[in-house]
Amino acid sequence: MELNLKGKSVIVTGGGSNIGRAISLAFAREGAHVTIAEIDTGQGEKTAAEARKAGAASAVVASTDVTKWDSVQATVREVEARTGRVDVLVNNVGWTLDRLFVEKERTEWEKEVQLNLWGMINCTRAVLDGMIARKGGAIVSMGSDAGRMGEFREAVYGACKAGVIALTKSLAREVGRHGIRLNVVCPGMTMPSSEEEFGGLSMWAAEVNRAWGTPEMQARIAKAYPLRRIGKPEDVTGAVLFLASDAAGFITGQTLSVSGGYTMM
Amino acid sequence: MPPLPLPRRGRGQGEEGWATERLFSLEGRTAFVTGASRGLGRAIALALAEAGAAVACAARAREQIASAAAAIEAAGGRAQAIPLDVTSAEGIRAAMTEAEHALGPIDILVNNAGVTLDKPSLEVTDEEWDAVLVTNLTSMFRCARAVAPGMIDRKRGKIINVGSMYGVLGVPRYAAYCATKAAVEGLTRSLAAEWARHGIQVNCLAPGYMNTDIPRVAMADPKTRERFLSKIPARRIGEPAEAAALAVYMASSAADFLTGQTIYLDGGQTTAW
Repeated sequence: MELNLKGKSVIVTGGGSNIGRAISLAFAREGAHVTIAEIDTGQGEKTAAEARKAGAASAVVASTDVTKWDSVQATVREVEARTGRVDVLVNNVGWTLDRLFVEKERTEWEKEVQLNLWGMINCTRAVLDGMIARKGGAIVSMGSDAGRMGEFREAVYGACKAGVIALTKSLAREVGRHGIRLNVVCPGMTMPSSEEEFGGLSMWAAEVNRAWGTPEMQARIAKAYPLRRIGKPEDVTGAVLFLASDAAGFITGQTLSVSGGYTMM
Repeated sequence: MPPLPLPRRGRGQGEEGWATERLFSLEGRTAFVTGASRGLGRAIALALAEAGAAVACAARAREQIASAAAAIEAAGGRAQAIPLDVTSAEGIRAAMTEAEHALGPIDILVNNAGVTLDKPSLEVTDEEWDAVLVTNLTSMFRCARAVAPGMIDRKRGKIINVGSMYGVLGVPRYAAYCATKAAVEGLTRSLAAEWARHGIQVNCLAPGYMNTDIPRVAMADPKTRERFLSKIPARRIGEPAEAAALAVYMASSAADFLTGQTIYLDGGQTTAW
């Protein structure tokens, strides 16, 4: 199936690590211009080098703090100047700590809200003017099954991801007439395959999250998924490529769980 | 800090397996499409074939399925026209056997056949109600049950049930249709959960207003057209080719971790829900 992503200008936030890395490489294989918007430029450069090898029309790292409006605007302006436009934005940045609500520090909640919700609001707002002017564009945001189901230890993270879904639906209504589509892909628990696949600022580098990596915990999590395994970063790339492409031209405002049947709704 | 263990790779998916042309390819697969005589069914059958699948085009209308199969063959694909009335349990079994005999074991089932009934509920007869239920719902269960044993043996299968935006919207005069389309989503989730461990993924493709015979006639009137379009954020109706593209995605290994899901292909119309 022709996805027609060759030469498209794509921004992947947090595109250096884990799911973001897999998404960057998937667009690279399609021959897109990939901009990896990363706060960890070192990790971003590692992925950019892989992306160039994989066939990207170009792969450039844009140092970006998605929580800072000025930083996001600067990145979008730079991409528009360099590639002429932004065809696709993938809001991929995400972060959480595996801790009960009552045991989390307020600063940790605030960081979750900043990264998971404000980051998505900033980046989405920043690309819209250009997309409206050009009468087209696709925004794919990473949600989470935690935003659809009640999840232990993911209260504020889940609230942010529910916010991502609601914002997507509202905006899909507002900007549909301009030919702009917004959709959400919800991965389940998705583990990187090696230490090389994430940087030091990734949630996977946080000490408390290592508890997810014990064999007992992995087995327990896998059992909760009807397909009986934990997600791999590559599991979601098919959905993201499809929703970003013209092949999904009539699909907007949708939330798609790609999580081995964990969430069905 | 202990290292994170590596998740196991899925079957046959090394790094090169993620190359897109292979990710969305249906090369070497066999598909069975009900209601393939026209509209979305025909578009889906042709698109699955274009992606590489051998396709059994099943429906009642013999000339039209022959035409769909001929179109596939003319494009260099493999196809077989299979006469089928989905309201007959025996007919379903016979059609599946015929398709497997002609094209090989079925890897992909597209439950697309369906009828609409636009009538005030107080005037709907018992026979009409039953006919909608058998065609739109019972037939899907029977077709799924007919292909599942082979899929379980081969530990691989994709079932795509065609639902509708009407499965979540309350639409007057469409009680039987709305009820069956909502039920298709429930059927999808239950079968997905039950057969996930066998490597079968079951998903629901739920179109909104598409450019097929019935909406095309309705849309010819400018007033009706404006009323339709004002409710669709995308300000247009969908094309059968777009439903076909979604079916190819759902049928391909790009969707191997996707199961039990309903995707509305509706230009944003159900986003209020």
